[in-house]
Amino acid sequence: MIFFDSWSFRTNRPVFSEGETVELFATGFDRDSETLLARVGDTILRIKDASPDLVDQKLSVRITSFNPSESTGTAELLDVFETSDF
Amino acid sequence: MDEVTELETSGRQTPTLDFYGGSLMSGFPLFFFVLWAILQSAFFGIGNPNGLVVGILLGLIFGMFFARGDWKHYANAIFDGMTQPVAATAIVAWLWAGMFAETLQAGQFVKGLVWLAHTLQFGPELFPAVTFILAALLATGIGTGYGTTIAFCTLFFPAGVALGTNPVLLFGAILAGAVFGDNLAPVSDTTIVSAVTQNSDIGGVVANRFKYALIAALASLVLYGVAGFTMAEAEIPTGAENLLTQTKNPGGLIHLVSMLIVIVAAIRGRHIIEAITWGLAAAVLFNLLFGLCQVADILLFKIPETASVAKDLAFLPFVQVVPVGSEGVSGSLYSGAIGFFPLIVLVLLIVAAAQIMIKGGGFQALEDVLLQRIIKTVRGAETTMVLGTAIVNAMITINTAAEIAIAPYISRIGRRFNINGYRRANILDANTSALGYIFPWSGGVLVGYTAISGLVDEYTWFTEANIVSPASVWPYVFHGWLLVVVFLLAAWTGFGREYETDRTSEEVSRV
Repeated sequence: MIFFDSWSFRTNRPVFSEGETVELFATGFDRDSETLLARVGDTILRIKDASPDLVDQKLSVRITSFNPSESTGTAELLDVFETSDF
Repeated sequence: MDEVTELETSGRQTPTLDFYGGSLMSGFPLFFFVLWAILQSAFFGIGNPNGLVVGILLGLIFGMFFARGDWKHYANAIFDGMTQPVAATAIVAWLWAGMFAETLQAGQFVKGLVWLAHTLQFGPELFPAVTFILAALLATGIGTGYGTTIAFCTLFFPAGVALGTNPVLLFGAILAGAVFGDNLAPVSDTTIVSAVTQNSDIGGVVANRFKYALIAALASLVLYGVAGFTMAEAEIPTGAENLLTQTKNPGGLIHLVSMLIVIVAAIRGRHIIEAITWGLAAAVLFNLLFGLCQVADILLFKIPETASVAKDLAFLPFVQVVPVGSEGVSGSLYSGAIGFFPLIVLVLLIVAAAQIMIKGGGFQALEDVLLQRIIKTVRGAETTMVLGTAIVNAMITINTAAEIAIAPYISRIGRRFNINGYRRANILDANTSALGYIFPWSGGVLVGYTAISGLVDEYTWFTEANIVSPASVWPYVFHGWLLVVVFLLAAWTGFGREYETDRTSEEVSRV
């Protein structure tokens, strides 16, 4: 029943598995390592070979590695979506 | 994790508007508007949205003096902002929602609820709890908490006082019901703003916020039940008849069906315009079929007697020949849509001011301060979103205006942590709805107080002593307080949290 969706407690540090494809917003760019960042809760994903212009854009990415103990991972860019809010 | 937070704030768009005093000065129009709104509504006690339009216009004018270089870029940013889909979508949804709400009111929905209250025969102790449920029902149907407050303060309040119910508790229950509907109804102006500004479909937002509303409402119901029995009963005024018997009509309850049509259609994924259209068609049909109102109550052309067609068309049920000077259009469709005009102008101008702040880098600067110094975790982000929305709404009397002003921050802070649109919209709307009906200067409290004050002239037995001061009701708006508490707990525990990676909210179909 649609009313009872998400009656649950969600972790601050979501976990991803290798090969998983997800949609998310790019949230920053690390100039030192030239890597696009996507923060999901308190988990950080680093998206390789992606432009800093993609910050704030909605992306589709595939998880290439994930370290659950540090809540960090890497991903590759698959697609960029158009968004139209603030 | 702090190290990464700092990294995240680099690599953004370069501001395209330059301001004397730095990028934060691009926020001058919005800041000026917020100050104006506080001054007008909280200090001067003027809850008129038309006045706010002047506030944002002056903010935009004064803000231009801080812009460096050619002012045409500033002017163009105003146009860019006004043509954002976010404003157009909210405007269209409001117009439809306004027509629907007024048509339900014309169809004696309130009198149906009065009949229900009378038939159930609850005593003075349970009357506040019943009033809370029925006010919540009306507000969920018509989507306007203010309209609900006025209707209930005019009908249920004197009826409860006549029964011997504690008037302060009763006023609190009415306001709490208004909060419930303002928060949950798909046709509520605040619901529409919350969904549209967070790029989410209205049906999905409503279905998703059900859990928070239900938890707070059940706890409120218990509190109204307990408080009804424990708080000292007021003296029953002499000369007060059972008012509920005079204004009841069970037929009005048919609009529970109209209301359900909209809610079910919206939640099932129908476009909000389509969902409301079905509900509106049903409401009009029920009104005419069951004689709840006349065609003229829904739409009426008042043609001046001098018009050449006046006599020929006078037989039509939606035409009335009137003396010159009294011509016009009226009815629920008209007044429902027209009622949103001030808010429509306001949203266009506020979105324009937000665009200037975006292009001037003001949002970015504020966001950097928040993200680098204050918000370190998703828990902190959600807590900031809850408290930020609550504080802005506590300051600005007119809650829809406050919601529009804070919406861009909620969107940007939430997206920094990939909190999905449904969750962002729910944090935004719950705390907007709640705080609009609690404090003595809140719009909801003021309209209720005004309606209650008017009862002195209406009933001989209703005296000044029966009037509830706006300053005394704030502790008893249980659903309002509990919604804030539920969201603070949800932020801390992760209850109901969803990330963009869990589920992406469906964007509202554009018009």
